[in-house]
Amino acid sequence: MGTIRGTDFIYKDGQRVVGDDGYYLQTSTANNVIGNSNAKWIGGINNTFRYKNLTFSFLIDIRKGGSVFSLDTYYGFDTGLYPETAGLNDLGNPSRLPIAQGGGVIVKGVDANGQPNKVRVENTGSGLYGYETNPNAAFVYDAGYVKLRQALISYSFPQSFVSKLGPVKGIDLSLIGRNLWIIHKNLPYADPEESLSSGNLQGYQSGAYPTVRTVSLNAKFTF
Amino acid sequence: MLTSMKKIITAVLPLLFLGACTKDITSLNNNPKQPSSVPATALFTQAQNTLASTLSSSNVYLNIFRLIEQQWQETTYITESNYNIKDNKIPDGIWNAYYRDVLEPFEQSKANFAKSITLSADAIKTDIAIADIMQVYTYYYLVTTFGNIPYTEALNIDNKFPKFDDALTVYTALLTRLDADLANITTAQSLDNADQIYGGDVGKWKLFANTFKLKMGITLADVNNGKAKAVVESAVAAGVFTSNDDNANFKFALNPPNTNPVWVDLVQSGRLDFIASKTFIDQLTTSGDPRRALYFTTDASGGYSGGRPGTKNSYDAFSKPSTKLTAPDFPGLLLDYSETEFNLAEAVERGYSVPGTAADHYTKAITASIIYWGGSAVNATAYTALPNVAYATATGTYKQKIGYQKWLALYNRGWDAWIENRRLDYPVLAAPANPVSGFPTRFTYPVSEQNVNTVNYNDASSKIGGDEVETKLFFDKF
Repeated sequence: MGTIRGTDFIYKDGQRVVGDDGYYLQTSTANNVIGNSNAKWIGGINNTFRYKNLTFSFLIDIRKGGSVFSLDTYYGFDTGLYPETAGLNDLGNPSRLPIAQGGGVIVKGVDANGQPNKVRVENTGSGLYGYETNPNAAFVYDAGYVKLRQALISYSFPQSFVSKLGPVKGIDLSLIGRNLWIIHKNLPYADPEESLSSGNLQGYQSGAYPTVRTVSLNAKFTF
Repeated sequence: MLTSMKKIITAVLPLLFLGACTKDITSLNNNPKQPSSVPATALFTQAQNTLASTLSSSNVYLNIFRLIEQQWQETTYITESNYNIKDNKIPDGIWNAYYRDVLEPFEQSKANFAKSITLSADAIKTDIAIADIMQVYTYYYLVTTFGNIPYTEALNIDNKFPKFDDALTVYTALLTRLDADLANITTAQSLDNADQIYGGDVGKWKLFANTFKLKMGITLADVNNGKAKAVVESAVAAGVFTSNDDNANFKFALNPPNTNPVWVDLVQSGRLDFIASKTFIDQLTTSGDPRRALYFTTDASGGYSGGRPGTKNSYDAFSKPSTKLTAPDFPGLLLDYSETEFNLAEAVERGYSVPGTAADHYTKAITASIIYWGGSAVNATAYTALPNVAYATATGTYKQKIGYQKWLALYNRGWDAWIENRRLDYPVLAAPANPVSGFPTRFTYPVSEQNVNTVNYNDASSKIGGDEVETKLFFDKF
């Protein structure tokens, strides 16, 4: 249940194997288990503090484990959208320069004999970091997170004030925020909770939107 | 009094509603708008349409053989040009298209013909024979694409885990079926408009079956020469295509939805995905081929040029598939006179007793191709007389000469170009820029078979020597 399948890297002693052309080798079948969309566990911590008329409460949601395939990085790393695709190479030169001018990149991994890869490949166009030269497994990420799901601050008007208002027996004013902060996640550039759909399309992101943050003001009158 | 009236009404009212219900509510499950059976002719036409569309398609989830054969090249998304068939699950696409959308409707069409109460016994036999020829034709592409495939246990909805049969055994069984079908064609006319290829012309179907038999025989030549010789000779003796008028053209409609798939993929979609491949168009240019202007448009500078295989290319700069080919009603070619003459040329070279000389057949084949694409006989005569084209003077063995010219002639038929290229080993195509594998000599089995039909899948892949794209298939000896 929830298995994500696709092409994978080929490993030697736990290291990714790079071919003679300087790009990662890939499995010949597209049927390898490369992830599972189910979490190991999901939990939450809810707490409320009261001091005189003030109430403060928060809810932290935690998801441990599970994986998500990101079609956004599959294409985005390919076309050079993300900063990881640029920057300096091992020689200290901008990696997007042609190899002849000191650019290019040596991808991390080992050759067929287990020796560190030494083949430098061009990073002048698209492809190096994305779907063109990497297996599907390169775009599967840990979908765990720690989120400040909700925070609430509430003020109850004192009885001395309320008693003057006739039939009103109590007034509470609250400020509530939801989806305020992703405290920790391992998926870059997107919310790990986002998924294309339910059913057979869990653990698959495409054009992921951020989760909507809502801030609401609540006034409660008791009669 | 009033309260007791109320009580009575409250007690009786639900009973009235109960009376409004029918006792048997299972009839609600019957959808009155769903046809209880589909006419055999409708199934036939639909299957024929899907078959022709699949072979003509340029959809990158289904048919990428023009790219593998370096006739076309992609512009932005170049993984298919680099032999990546996995990301788009192309084997699954082919499998579904042929088994589910072509073979199964033909199978049901045959079953419905057999149940007909209006047709004569001979007419039923003939209709079934024609549907069966189409099935044999479809299996030819499956078996030459994957190798061992479900055959004897296929198309049975009660068997979800069909075993895979040996490719060569399937191939031999197909030849037997083709002979049986030929014997079963007895009426003068059949199917009429349901047949969008020949309009039910039975004489043409006999020609088609024999011409296809010739093709199947030649495909078998490297693996079983004796059998191939017998098949080819009997097919030729019975009569094969003699002009472009015999070509099996599926007539696509001028307006959607049943249009030429190339128009759908290239024009209707508004996408700018495909241009000419440098490999192909440079060959056309070097040899002064009159088909160059018929196959492609001019590039940005008014000349003819193509993109380098496997690299990203500018759409605007290069030549693109011609407007003739991208017209919505450009027909889908299933079998033609040109390839038939090439097959005859090869039969002569292999020493089979068929009439004519190899050179004559070869020249006729190229001429037929040029004329089919809109060239003139004068163009063709001039081209076939060129030293690097003429059979007597062109470079190499017969396999090289025929392979090279077949590749040029099978332009909108990438699938066939791929089969012939693997069998004849010419032309030798240079690898694209960043290939994910060697030249694919077969396609891997669909992921769905690996996951669902695992036991039979594992058995089949070990029998063919591994479910890899570089595993050579039964007909591809060299």
